[in-house]
Amino acid sequence: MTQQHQPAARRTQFLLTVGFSLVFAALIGWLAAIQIRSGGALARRAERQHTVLKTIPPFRGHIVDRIGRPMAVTVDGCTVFADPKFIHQYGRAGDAAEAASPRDGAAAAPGAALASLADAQYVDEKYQANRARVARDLAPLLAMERADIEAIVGADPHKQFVRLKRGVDGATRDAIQQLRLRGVGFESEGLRCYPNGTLAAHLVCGVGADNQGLGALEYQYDERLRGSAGQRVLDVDGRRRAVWIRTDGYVPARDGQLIVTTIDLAIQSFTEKALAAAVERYKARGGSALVMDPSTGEILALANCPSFDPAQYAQTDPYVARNRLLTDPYEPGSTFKCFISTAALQAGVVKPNESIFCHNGHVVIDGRRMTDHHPFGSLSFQDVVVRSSNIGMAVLGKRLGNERLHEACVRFGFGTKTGVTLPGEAPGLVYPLERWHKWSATSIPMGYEILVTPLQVATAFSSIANGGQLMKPSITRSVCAADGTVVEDHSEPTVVRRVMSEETARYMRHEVLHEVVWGDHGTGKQARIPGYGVFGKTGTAKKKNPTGGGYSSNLYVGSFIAAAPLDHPRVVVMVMIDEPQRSIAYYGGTVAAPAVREILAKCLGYLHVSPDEPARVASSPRRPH
Amino acid sequence: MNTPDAPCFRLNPTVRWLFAATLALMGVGLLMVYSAGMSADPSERFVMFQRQIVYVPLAVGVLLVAMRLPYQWLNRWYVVLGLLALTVVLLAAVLRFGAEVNGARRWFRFSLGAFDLSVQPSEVAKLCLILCFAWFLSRPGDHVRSFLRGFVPLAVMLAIVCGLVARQDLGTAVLLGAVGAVMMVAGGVQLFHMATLVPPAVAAMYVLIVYEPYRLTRLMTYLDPWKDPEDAGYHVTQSLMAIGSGGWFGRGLGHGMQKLGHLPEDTTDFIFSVISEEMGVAGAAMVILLFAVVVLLGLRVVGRSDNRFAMLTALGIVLWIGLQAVINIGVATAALPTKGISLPLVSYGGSGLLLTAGALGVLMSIAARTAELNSVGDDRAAGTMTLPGMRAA
Repeated sequence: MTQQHQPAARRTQFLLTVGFSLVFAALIGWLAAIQIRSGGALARRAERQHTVLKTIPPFRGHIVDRIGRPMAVTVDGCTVFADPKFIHQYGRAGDAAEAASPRDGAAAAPGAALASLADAQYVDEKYQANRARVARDLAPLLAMERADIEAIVGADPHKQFVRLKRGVDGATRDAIQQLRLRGVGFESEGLRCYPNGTLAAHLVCGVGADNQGLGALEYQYDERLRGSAGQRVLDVDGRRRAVWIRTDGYVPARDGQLIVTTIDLAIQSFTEKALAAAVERYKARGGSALVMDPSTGEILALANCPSFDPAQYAQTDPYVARNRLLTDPYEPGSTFKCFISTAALQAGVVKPNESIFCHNGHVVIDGRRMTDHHPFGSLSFQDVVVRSSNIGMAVLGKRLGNERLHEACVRFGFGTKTGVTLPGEAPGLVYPLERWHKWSATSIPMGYEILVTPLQVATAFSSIANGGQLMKPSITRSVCAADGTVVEDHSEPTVVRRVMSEETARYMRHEVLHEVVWGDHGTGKQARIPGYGVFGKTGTAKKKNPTGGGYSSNLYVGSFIAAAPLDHPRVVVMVMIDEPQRSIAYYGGTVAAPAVREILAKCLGYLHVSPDEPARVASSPRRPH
Repeated sequence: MNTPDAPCFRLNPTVRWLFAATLALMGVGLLMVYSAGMSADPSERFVMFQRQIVYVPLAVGVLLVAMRLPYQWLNRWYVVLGLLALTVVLLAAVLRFGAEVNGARRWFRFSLGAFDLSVQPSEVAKLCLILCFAWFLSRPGDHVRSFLRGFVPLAVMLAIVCGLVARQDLGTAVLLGAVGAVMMVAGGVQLFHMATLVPPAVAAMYVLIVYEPYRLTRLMTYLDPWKDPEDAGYHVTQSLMAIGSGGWFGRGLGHGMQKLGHLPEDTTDFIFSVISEEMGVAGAAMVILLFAVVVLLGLRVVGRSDNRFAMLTALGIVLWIGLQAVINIGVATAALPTKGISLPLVSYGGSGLLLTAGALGVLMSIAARTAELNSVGDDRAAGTMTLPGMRAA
């Protein structure tokens, strides 16, 4: 038997040995060929498939007031998301086949895996039950409707990431984690918080869904506040679950910078309260207030009424949300008289104490009839301003002439942006000389035919207060890195130009504007603070008719701007009341001056400013507060 | 010199090398099943490994027992027919009662306490068919050369078994068909008789492809796997990406990424891709060379065998292991269309591993009782390893 089959067996061995050897060699060759031909491309494709770039969101920088009290801060928050596919699979956790071969689920096409299930109906019911449970538990914590959550989760059961809610705070996240809901996850992100509520809302203005600044400082310094996102590379498995974080490709997030503003939140607080009380009292449409340090141009408080919640900035009515102090130019009316009279004095067209005839309240100049609110005969130069005579100012305007008048407006900074680092500032409007007509020289001195922003008025007034220097108003003291080191220092005041001599400024303060408040005929008597040399100027401007041409007969802007003490004023306070109810009151000296007094008095106390007029303290029947 | 009728057991070099290569392959398998068992979810980790660590020692035990038992015990009509009957019954039963996995019924599941045992009847069928053919072809007489008494019974047997297997597992059916056909030719069936098998085989393939459209998709995918890498071409493209990621020397053991849910069937049908990714072309070539050692030594047993039954049995077993390895590696490297077929000795699997080990045990039993192989060892000093490919002086 052995001898019979031997040759055949040897032949079989030989043939198959050759055959198998060739095949095995071919397989090794084929492997090498794959590697040579497309190994790199395949490896890159695999790399793309199993790596995920995760951005690490930076923390948005804080905004604080001048001594570090928080105005806008970023706290630890998160986005809550759901994994509908996981919720789906969790719904059939009892399914043995699924549990035994979890890998197959990822490998097979989702549709096929579903179709092959013995009892799809049962699975669907379990899924819905699980979805309902997730919705029921989350709804109260996320302050969402159960039906909404169910709809979001149920929209596409094959998705693995749907956002449920953004901007969820840490406490809520912890509460949700306690529930141990499977298929609900968190993505860490900074949550912008405004701890003071509506206080200084117009300065921070809020952020959008992606923490992008929408207005005011949040917008102006968005790039600094934002920081830069980091990234890390994750290796993920077939179901996009992170397996590990790779050490290469890690870039840490750089947190945003800190903005230190010039605002003092204490001043801001009582400024807003006084403003709101005045607006409320005179049933006005709104109001604005500004507190400035005249020697540096730093804005200490900036308020608009009504205020709003910065977290709701995007939904706020534009009139409310706008920082009208610098976005809405208006015709200033009588307030403007103090600047033109200063210019007239500086130019020498009028002497102190010079008597000016005011035509007993009625006169026709250049074919236009002009009136005063009260008939005056001859008024001294001071009294023209103190008693706010339109005719007297028109006379001064004619004496100055168009060119000097125009130059005065421009020198005081009107018609150009002040350059404060807040977005949306309007330059106002000073017509170029060639567009002036015969009435311009008499209209502008009393504050018409010119558009200015309240910020420009306060800045120009500060130049009278500080001895003649026009300052650049500032809102930021410094920009600091996240660790607190100063990156940019803006605390050094910037002088724009000298607009009058020290003597002129001193004369205007002591002899003219002081009398507005303390004189027997002054329009700003309501701003008196016993013991302090308050000086200021009222303004009552008619507003343009909103529906047609001309001026409205019952829409006014009542304003008052004042500073104290007399020799070295520490603060300039401006309040304007927009559209007070005419039936109650509308004169600036009535609607705005009391608010100015309150703010000014509290400022002087807060800043420990000693009374500068001891004589008047003695004569005062009561203390200011 | 032992007489052919009563050969004695000897651990000759052929047996030793076969045993060493087999153990090496099982070791690589165990390692890679462990590595591929990594998962992002701790509860899913190393599920397969926990079973494989039990199966491998069991398989070695089965191998050692099968090696010690005289292979002649299998050359009995009642053993062979009994096995044949068992195979047919199991194959038929699994179609009706088997557990369904991924849309195919290929397994019986038994629960032994905490331990789940899966038995795949097609694995049993492979060994049984080989023994049946070897028995039938080696019976004394001239019937093999006859069409009716030789060819027809074999062809019918092959058709029944292949047909039953093909219902759920075309790859294994093709493998069985190839093993059976080569055994028939080696056993002396006339070639022109064999030629009559070709038309029905082609017809059967056509019918199977038409009735199961996914097979056509697989064929189309084979031509261009990148056409639909998300669905039809998913397995192949993921496997190629694993091979590409491995490069020449691999990402390092345990550092594969494709096994983490990207590459499907990473412990079974595509374990070769995991090997390629972690050990590179070098490691993959080592595995191929280990199979080459098993196959070429097996063929040496075929060539030196004392009798026809031994020769045909050894041939069948070698063809089975060799072809299955070639098909599996070919599929993983996109050289062949996708087939659900595991890598012998390496892939995870209970019944497959035990039966493969049993078959190799039979092969070694034959080798250890083959006079000519034993005589080679006589020429060498005891205890020194001898390269088995060397001819006796």
